[in-house]
Amino acid sequence: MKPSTLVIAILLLQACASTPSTPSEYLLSGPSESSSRQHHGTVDAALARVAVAEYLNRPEIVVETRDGVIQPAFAHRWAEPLEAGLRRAIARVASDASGLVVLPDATAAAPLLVDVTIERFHGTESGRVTLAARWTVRRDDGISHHRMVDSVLTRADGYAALVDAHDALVDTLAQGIGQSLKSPVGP
Amino acid sequence: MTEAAEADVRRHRLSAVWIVPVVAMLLGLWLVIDAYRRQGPEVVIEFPTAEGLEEDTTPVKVRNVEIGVVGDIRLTEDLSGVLVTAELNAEARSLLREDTRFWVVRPRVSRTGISGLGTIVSGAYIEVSPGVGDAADDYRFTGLDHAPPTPAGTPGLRLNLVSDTSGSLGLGDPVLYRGYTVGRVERTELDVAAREVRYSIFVDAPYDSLITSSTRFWNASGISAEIGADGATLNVASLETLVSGGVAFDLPAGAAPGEAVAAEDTFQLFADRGGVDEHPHRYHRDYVVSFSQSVRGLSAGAPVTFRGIQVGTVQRIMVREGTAGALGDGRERPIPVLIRLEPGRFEMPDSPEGVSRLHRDLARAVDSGLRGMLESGSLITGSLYVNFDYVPDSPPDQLGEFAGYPALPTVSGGLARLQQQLGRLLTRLNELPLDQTVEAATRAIGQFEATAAEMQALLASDAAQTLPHRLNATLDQLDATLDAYSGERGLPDRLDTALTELERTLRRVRALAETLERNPNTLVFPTERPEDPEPRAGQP
Repeated sequence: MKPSTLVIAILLLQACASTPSTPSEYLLSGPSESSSRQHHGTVDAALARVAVAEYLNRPEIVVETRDGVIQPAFAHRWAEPLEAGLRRAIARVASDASGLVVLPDATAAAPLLVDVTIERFHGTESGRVTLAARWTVRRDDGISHHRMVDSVLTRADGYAALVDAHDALVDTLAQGIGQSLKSPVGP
Repeated sequence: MTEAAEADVRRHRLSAVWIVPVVAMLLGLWLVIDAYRRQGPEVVIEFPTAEGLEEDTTPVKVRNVEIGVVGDIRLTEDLSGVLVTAELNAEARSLLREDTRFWVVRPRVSRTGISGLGTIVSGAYIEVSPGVGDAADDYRFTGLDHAPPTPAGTPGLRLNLVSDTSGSLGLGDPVLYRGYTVGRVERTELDVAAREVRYSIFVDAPYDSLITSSTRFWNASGISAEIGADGATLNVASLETLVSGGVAFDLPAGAAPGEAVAAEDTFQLFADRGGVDEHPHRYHRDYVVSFSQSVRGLSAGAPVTFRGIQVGTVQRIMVREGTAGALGDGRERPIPVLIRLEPGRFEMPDSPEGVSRLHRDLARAVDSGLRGMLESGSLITGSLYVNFDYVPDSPPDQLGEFAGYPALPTVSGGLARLQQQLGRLLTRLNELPLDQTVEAATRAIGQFEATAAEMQALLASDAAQTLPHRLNATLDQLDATLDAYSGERGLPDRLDTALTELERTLRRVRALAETLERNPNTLVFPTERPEDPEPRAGQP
């Protein structure tokens, strides 16, 4: 083996052996864990369909760098699909807010079914996180439609504070859903 | 002045006594002039009889207003009537026109009604119908037997009707349009030379606008009954026409209104409504067709068709013209038949121009092979009709002439051809193996009965009897299964979520494939990525 060939092989192995930095992963879990209502066989409500906008349906946390420009943060990711995190967080907070048993998945025994659509859910470099969502409550006697748009400011620099702001907005959304579960048919 | 001079003056002065006779003379002169001025015209009226008329008594009236009195009544020189002199008022002078009519009003009973009953007490009088024409030159008039049906000057349309059948119409009979009286018969007359009855009718305005060149008239007197496949039909125009008769008019079935007609125009009067529908067209032309075969079954009124479409009717078989001098010479001569073709049936104008056009077209058609032939209308009754059609390979021919009528060429064979075909059909029927056919049919029926018995036994078996119950049980299970699936409310939502996730995954795979296509070494070497944005703390 010639020395030049040996050098090239070593460089290639060096390049392949280089590993990128490990990304940080975050869990969307709501502002604070609370005692969720126990499920004793009877279910009051369930989340039937939770849909997120296509630009959110990726593991990376997206940040709006300027108006209309979204950039994924490859080093900062959601630890699970955003839909799964939303289901779990909304079900937990809505249960507490409404006093009902709300399951994160659809079930045949639930008299109330909730469909949630997340239209906007991202932060900006300047520290403002916005959530725009619509949800529908289906009952045996009718359907009610709801909508919410809210934004909060991050408390500190970095992605941890950004995720906290996301959690706060999910809490607000889940509170609204919980209230709508208690109200009769109608917006 | 001397006494002599004074005496001379008194002798030449008029005495005042003369004033009285002068005034009386002037007054008398004025009375004479006034009486002359008040004197009306004196008319002389000739009546068939003076029944009911009295000199210096019988009044002359217009619309029941007395305008004069009968003065003198005397016989005519030939004793065929009476001359009645009537002295009229001066105001009546303007009534005396050329068309002014006089008649005597007296009690009269006719089939159209009873009139003049009032004169039983008051006596007869002379009624005047004022004219509207020119002023009369002399005041001599011919009185009428009865009141004129239509007063002079009445707006409307006066037409003539011609009928070659015996009619029951009389003066004053109504003219009806769909049962509504719109006019009357004014005059009836037998034309001896033409051997036909002529009627003059008057249709009042505005109903005269209903009459066009397409209008047809028929005798609406009496009752017509018709029994057909649809049942019995009884037609009565009106009770009035049932008693007294009348004329009805309308458009033939399916015909469109034609052109406006002129006064005194002449129409044919059909015997009934059926005649109108059989002859819906006004203009026609007669032709002669001659046949060498028997014409038994061919009669007047038989249809003349062109490829099955009626275009005319048979008028008569010209026996006299066809056999004139022919029976004795031993030669075979064809029998001429007079037919009537109507251009309207060819969708041509129902007018004299249409007749001319039909004649020209027929001449060209004959040159192209159009021939007439006798066809059988019914094998049961043996009736015949004349049909025209193009005969290929026929010898050239053209329109001829017979007894003053244009003659159309004919071919024999329509009926003969039918007879030949019928003969062949009967021969084939005789040749059919009917015995074998009946025997085979009997066997087939026997086999069918056996099959039916087997089917009945099969259906009566236990397996067949339990089949409906098993089928019901299976359907119940299927129904329960479907209910179980439909009762799981979350199933559609989960399926929807799964399908959405599958779609996203496929989209990412496609994006990965596109990336590898653009930059294949992505699998080996890390790609260049922009640095992640760094969010800052929010500033209120």
